[in-house]
Amino acid sequence: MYKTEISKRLNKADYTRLPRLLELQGTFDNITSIEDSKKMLQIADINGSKYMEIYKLKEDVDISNIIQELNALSYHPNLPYIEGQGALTITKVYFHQSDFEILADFYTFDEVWIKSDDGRNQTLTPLHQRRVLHIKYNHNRQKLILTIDPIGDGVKISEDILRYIPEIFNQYNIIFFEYFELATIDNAIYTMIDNEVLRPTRLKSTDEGSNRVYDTLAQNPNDSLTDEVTFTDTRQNTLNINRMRLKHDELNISVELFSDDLLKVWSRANMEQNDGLKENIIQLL
Amino acid sequence: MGLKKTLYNFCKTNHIEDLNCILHITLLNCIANLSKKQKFVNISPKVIDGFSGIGEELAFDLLNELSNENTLIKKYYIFKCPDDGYETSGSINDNEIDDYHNIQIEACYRCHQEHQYDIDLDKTYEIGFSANREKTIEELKLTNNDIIKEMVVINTNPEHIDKIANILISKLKLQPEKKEEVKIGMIKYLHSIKNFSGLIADITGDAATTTGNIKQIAEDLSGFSSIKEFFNSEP
Repeated sequence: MYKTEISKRLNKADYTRLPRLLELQGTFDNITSIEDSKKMLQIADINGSKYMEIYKLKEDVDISNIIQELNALSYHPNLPYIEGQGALTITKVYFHQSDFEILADFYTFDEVWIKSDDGRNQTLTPLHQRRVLHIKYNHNRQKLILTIDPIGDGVKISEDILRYIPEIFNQYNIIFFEYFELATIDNAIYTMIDNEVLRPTRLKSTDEGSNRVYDTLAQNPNDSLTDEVTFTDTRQNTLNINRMRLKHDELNISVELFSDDLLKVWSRANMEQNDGLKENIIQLL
Repeated sequence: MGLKKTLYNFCKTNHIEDLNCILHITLLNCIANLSKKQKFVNISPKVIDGFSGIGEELAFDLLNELSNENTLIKKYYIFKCPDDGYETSGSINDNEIDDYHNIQIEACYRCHQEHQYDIDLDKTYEIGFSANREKTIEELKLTNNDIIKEMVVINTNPEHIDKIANILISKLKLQPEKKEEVKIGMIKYLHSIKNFSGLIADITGDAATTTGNIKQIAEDLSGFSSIKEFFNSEP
């Protein structure tokens, strides 16, 4: 059960090295201990494909007010799915000095592509899917990174996040948005493009005046759309960004910018790839 | 193996040795003479065929051979969304594929789902090629020896002169109706050979370099007023 969930979240090359990373006895396949499986799942939960938002600590607020309201909770994932018990549940709370971390999970009912046994066909099949929301605040940088498993596609997830955040923090009598504000990350992304860290491979933008949608796709996997007029116009806000797919060549992951504050990590990014991307962005904020 | 050597072997195997120089210049021109100066450029068999006349199929085989023998030219696959056989799902370089029976496209451009492809079972994919622009130009760079050898071969066949003229014309910013007239003047000049090596050596230069060189040639020679006038009238 835990291993199936882990294998959904990470690539095989990454989840099979988790026992070594966590200094567990045995290989991924022969680990039977539930505690060891949970340790591996906890890492898988916070990596893989995610939507990401970054929040800044507001000025003149005291973070200790949040820390003192939190109750430490050891990791206990809501698994397997039990009918009627798929609501958002806090699965871990950790704090140290002024830093804190919260993990939560919940279930959605979605259609996903499932390959047939002979590998010849793929069909859309309805399934209950476990979703994880992760919040991590670093007081040195005064930044909070929120990641959430993909649900649907695009900016609608921002509305979902606005619903999930109060669900979590109300349990501790904390009004989250009194302490944090959403950071815009588009300038950091464009700087990373200038520095050839990211490479735009698909850009869809709208001209609000004419109501025309411009959608450019680089089919050559090594191409970059930085020489397109629509890229320049989108960067200068002459066109409104709908979505911009980007390739991080060094980390070998694909990400997508949906607005000025919502990023999606498309690839099943491992621990190093996820940390590397977050570090890249935070450095530029 | 080096690109020049692979190209030479390919031409020999396919009995098109006399086109070695044309293909060499065509490749250089395709990779260098793009208005979009990205790190990687797309190379199309159609364009190679357009300048060399070897046929799209043979041009594809040539690019395939170059990508097999050298990492500067990459072969890539474009896959289609299984939910819509026409829309692009994603693309991947050949050298990034671990298992041809389980190629993963993590984020379909159309339906945003993950797809797995088997190269033997999915027949709707397309193949393309791209080149690392600067490094490929460096490796294909024409030496004086190359130019002397190629000039000798080029002069053995009037069709080759015509192809070279087409390549050079493609680099110039001319109004479409003036292209044929300039080409006629250029062919006359190419037959005269004087300064030809300079033109070929600058095949990877930008339009301004080529224009400057051709303008200089036109000024140097009598009887090619048509070329001279076109360039003198440029802003």
